Amino acid sequence: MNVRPPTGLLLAAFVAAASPQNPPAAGFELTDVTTSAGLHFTHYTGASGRKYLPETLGAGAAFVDIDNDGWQDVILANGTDWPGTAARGTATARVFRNTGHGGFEDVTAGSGLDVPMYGMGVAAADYDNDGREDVLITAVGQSRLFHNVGKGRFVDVTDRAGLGGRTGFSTSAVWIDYDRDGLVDLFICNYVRWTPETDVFCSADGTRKSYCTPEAYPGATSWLFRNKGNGTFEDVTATAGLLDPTSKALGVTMLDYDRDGWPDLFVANDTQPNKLYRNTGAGHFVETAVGAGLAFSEDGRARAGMGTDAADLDNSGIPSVVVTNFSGEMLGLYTPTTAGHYEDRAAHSECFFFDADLDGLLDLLVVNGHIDEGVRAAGGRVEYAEAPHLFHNAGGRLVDVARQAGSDFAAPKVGRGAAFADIDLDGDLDVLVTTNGGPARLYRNRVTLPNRAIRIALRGTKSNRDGIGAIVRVRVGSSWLTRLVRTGSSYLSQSELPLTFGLATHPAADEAVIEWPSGLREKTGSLAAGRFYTITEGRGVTSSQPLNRR
Amino acid sequence: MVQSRRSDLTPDEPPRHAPTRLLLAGVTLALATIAAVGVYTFTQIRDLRDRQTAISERNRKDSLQLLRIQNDLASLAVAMRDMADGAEPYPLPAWQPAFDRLRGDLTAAIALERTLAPPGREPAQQARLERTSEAYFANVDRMFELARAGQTAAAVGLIRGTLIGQQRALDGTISQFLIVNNRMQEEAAAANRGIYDRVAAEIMILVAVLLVVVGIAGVWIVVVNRRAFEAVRDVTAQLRTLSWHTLRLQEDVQRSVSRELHDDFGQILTAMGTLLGHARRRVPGDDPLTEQLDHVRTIAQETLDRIRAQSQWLHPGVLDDFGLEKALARCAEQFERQTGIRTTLEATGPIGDVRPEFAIHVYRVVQEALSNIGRHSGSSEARVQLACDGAALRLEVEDRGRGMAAGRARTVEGGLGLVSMRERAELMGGQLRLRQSPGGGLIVEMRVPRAVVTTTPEGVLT
Repeated sequence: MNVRPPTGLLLAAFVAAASPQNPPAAGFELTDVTTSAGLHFTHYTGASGRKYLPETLGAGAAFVDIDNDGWQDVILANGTDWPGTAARGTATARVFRNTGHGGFEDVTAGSGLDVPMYGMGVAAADYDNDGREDVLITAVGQSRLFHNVGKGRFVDVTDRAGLGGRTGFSTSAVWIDYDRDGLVDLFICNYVRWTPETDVFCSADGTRKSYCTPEAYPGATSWLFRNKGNGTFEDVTATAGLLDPTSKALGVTMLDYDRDGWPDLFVANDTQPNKLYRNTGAGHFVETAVGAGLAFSEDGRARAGMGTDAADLDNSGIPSVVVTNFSGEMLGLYTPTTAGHYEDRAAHSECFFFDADLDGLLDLLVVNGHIDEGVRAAGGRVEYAEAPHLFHNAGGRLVDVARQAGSDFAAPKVGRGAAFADIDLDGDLDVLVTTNGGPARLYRNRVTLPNRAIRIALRGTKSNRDGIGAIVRVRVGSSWLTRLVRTGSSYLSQSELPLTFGLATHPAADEAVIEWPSGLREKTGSLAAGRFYTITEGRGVTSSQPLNRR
Repeated sequence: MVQSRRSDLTPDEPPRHAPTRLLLAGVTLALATIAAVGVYTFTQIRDLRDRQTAISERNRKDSLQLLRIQNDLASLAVAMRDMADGAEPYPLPAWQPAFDRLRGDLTAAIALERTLAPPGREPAQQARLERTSEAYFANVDRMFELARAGQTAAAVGLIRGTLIGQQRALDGTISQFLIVNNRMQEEAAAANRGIYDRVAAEIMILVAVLLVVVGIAGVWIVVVNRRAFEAVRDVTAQLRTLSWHTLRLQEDVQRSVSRELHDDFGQILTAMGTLLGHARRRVPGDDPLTEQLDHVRTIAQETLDRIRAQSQWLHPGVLDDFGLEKALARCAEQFERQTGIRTTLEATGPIGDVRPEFAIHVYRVVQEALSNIGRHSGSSEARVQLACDGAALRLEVEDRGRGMAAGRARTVEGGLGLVSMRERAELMGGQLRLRQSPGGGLIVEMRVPRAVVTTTPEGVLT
């Protein structure tokens, strides 16, 4: 079995909105504030020389307001020692509480999340609508669901929720109210059927073991668990039409590509065709990736799909889809052409996506990193640590401005997960990047243009409390900026739930329209720039606070 | 008598053809050959590229589809094993969507692969693949029917007993297709190598032919060019001979007329003057006839002076009597007297060695140059320098006037004079040029090989 060639990975797509204009190449700066912010974390792979496949893939992170203080906190998944190896530590997931204005303190101990497990990804949502964000940490083995009991403390409810005993090589996950019953359900990606016991010997030189490619293991079906509303979940994978043991899923994102109001799912598979599950609205999904043009590369090959995201890249109201692939393969940037059909644009333009300068157009962040530390010795141009890409959206043309954004940010790293949030409530989006076997890096964003934004948090009443699945459309002049409230996306990670709409230099958004999962369609009046709005389902804007723009 | 070395050339000789058409034909032939080689080479390479691309692309696409089919079959195998083993906590009917999806993809891939299949594939192989596929999915349908009817054991038995075997048969067929594809790829590569070798050989031959053609064309152009130059040289020699004849004839006529005027009319008028003097002395002093005789005598004398001057202009007798240097001195004196321009003559070397038939041309050049100074230069002085050394006879006529501007004016207004000077110089085998004087005026400079004008070299005009 051969070692996988180069790797590449991870993205996070960001938001912002407003009338298009032509900003300079980089109208913002990303400064590494990891140390000054107190975010001291190093990912533990558990590697002991056995070259277990999961060691190369983790781990992710999430921005979650765990204590409802309005500041986005950070949860970082972490590995642990493998069974049969001498324990070298007590690695667990780590929780960092945002102390305000971007400072963090480690509150892992006693948080309830300090459970040893081989954690991969994080997905958070208020699944019981009690007003507190609950957390799922996916894992190799048993993924765990933690119920938030308040004040930043969690209780492991995996077994009680009916998720116990479902083990696998779980990766990314999303919370999705697929049946729009006001309760978020849970979709968990599974990669391959791997356990330490079924590990196979792969070698690049025929003698020494190396990391295997996914072809060495059979795929595994992802899972959909329906929230029954009583704190338990039921496996509806098969009845929902999602049973697929051939997939090797690493990334998942929620979107409404056919704009029927029912949330769909896009799953990025490694060496297997990607899957686009169209939600029929009857508790069932139909797989349509081939017909939509999202399953394969342009030449009909299944690529090594990893991270993924979907967002309205061109303010058309229809989401584009981006899929990061293995190094040596093109990143897939699928833009809608006709209804329900996509075209891989990256094959032509070699570009990818994210927004950071609040100019109203989504930009694209992609972080990379190889899986094999010895890749450099194998020759070629691929490095183990690779520079991230930050593609600025210049009105349809994507230009990599990573270096202009900051030398710290552009430094090569073995990137894996990425997420964004406004950690200091100044109105712009800051970035968290995780690395494999290395430190997490926090980059504070400072927009140097006179652009401003509005931020919107939703509070569902009939819909789920987080408003997950709600579509928010903001009008700025003649432009409509469309964003979907969702969890997950990216790779193993989750960004904050509040939406940020960049208004460029407009003093206000003219109006906002919220399409709640319950079916309610709600409008607001003008929303002044530089403020954080909370919109409650059926009650409009219920609070407004100024942003701390510096 | 002046005669040409090519005196055998006569007006009856047939005119030579202009070489332009031949040159153009040569160039056209060379260009046409290059273009033909270029087009041939381009066509060959393009055809080769298209053929190679088509083969590789078809093979690549076909192999991709075969791999896609293999992947689907592998997925089906995994699913069937999971179903048979009960590895997943789902009832057998729950697997149907996955099978439906794989069936759709497999059917589409088989249909697409058929359009991409290499021409050499046996139709029977293709038909067997499609029949096996249909039979497999027919059994899959039956298996799910059994499962939905609650006959799980029978369904599992169908999987273990039939479906897994059919799936393996399909997989084996696809593997054979891939092996054939690889073999065809190798054969295509070998064929391409053969084509490359053939094209290379053909291009080598064409290049060799091109070199020969260009070489022949080049030699031909050189020959034609040389002939053209020889023809021009002959024509030039004939023109020069003609010109020489004309000038000699002109000088002879002028000398003859000059002698006639000087000898005949001069003596007559002299005699008339003498007779009128005698008659004047026989007439009484107070006779009115005296005054009339004096008047007639004055007229006769003036006529005699004019005839002598005209005779001198037509041919300077002093040249014949006293040589070139004296003749030039006289010419300079006359010029100064007539124009008031102070004129000096410097003569060095054996000027007397210049043969008379060339001396008249030197004299005429000086005469014309001084005439131009008098008419155009505005100079108050002129200098004539004649030097004869071992190599050449050198003449300079210099003024202090307006310089090259005046020289150009002389060229325009008195073009024939300058042409005449230059022609005389070239007829003597020399050159004449105008140049700026360091003092600002103009210098007419003539240089004639001494060997030509002081001796009679073999083959030169005589």
